[in-house]
Amino acid sequence: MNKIKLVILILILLSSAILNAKVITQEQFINDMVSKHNFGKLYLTKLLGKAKVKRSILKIMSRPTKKGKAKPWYKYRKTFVNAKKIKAGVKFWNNNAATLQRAEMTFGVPAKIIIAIIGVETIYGKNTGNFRVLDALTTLAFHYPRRADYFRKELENYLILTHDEGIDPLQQKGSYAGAMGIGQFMPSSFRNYAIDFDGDNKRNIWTNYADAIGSVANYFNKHGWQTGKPIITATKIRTNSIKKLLALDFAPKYTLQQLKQWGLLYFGTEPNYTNGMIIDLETKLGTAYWLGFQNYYVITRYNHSKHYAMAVYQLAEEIENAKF
Amino acid sequence: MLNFKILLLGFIVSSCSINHYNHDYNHDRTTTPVAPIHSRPTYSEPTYNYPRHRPPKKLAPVAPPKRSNKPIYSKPTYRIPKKRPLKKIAPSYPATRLKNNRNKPNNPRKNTSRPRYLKQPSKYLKQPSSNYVPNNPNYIARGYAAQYQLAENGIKTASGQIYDMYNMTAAHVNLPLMSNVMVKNLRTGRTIVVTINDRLYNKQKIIKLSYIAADSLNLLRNPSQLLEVRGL
Repeated sequence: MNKIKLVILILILLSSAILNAKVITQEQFINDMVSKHNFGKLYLTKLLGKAKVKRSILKIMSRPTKKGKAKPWYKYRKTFVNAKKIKAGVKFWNNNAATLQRAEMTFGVPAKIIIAIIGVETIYGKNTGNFRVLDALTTLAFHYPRRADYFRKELENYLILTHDEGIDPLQQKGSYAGAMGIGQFMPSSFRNYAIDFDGDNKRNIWTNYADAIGSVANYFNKHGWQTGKPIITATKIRTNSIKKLLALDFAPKYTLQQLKQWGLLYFGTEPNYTNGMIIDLETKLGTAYWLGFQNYYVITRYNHSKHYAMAVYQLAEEIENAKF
Repeated sequence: MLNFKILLLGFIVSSCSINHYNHDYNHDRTTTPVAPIHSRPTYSEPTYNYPRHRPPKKLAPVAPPKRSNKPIYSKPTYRIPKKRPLKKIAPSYPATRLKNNRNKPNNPRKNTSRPRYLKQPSKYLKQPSSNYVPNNPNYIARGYAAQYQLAENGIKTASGQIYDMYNMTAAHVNLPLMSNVMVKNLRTGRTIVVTINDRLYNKQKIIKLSYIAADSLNLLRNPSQLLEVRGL
């Protein structure tokens, strides 16, 4: 028995050593930043020393979420597409009509989609998160090994962007994952896609609605939004080819011609050479199928979830109907 | 006494018969006597005729065309119309349902150069000048609703739009397509507005609701609730 216990102990020690080898410590990170981007070492050590490790964030991230036990679509929809959100969306549209129209003209993204994104993310700018961004990013970068690489890069981007924008990295607030502002931009996407849509030479997505609207529209435009093209339509699928079609990649890789050969029953007017992807959603009656186009895929670039993109689309449609 | 009674009865009966004879409605039997059956005329064709029974008309012989002195190959008489700039035609119906508010003067969407969401309709089709939505304010009906099935998600409706379970649409027997109606659940008092974009071939039901419309009226569990449909 003792031998077995010893073997187990050694194994545990070895595995922990392997895991520890991957994790880059805070000091190493600081050294990298100093050598890469010419940051001051003392400044960084002081700054990261002020950051607190949040237990609550680690608790949220380690929640048991299995793929099979995710919320079904009809329950997911209730939280995002409801009368309250639709009413608030119409109000938001009326308040920011001019900037929304300008964003639509310059980037070709319809106003309803921008509004729906902001509504789903932060309830039209009301709930932008109460965690300090630096706290969230440091805890996830150094104490959450599963996705440490991703969050370390985000922390790096965050430090650079605060330096570029001339803002205090300790004061900015965001969600538990470090998403910031009205549009919930991660630091890397802030650096790439956030714009100044106000003319004051500041990319303020925390409190300035014009900048937030402009940067959301820019994000979609850069990810390949096709103006005037459909987003998603309902379709039928031959029952014997459901498995085959749902096993395809979650991207519009295949043309409608190919999909039709594989069992898609599409009655719309889009030509055969357009690319599409098949989405299945659970309703109260059973699973139903939709055909997503390029624009649907672009919405999923904001949050990689089919439910999220569908909620955004349906909220946008409802807001438009409520307004006109 | 008995004989007297019989006499009286006979008198009454005879007087009745006399009276009856006097009041015969067929007074002028003598003037227009009915001919005996054997001498009546045989069955003749009725004067009216259905067109298919009518014998073919005998056409008057057509005179041969007169030869004119004009040359046979002359210039065509019709004018070639000038090319006009094509009118910009508004799309007939938007992709999604509409309300009448779209035609209001303060609508910011009315004359903006926003990107088009619809294909430009064919120039040969005559389109209404504005986004026309038919109104039928006098329509009221009470009854029960049918519902779309799950397998109908994605089929083509009578209006050409594709049925999506999450659109507030409905099918109706005879109301004009693309018109809006208000549907009220008389049990709960909930009301919704749906656009009619399909035809219903079941005259037992007043309307056929989409999944989300039926869900918002709480009809999924118990579909036999009395509804009221009003045209807007």
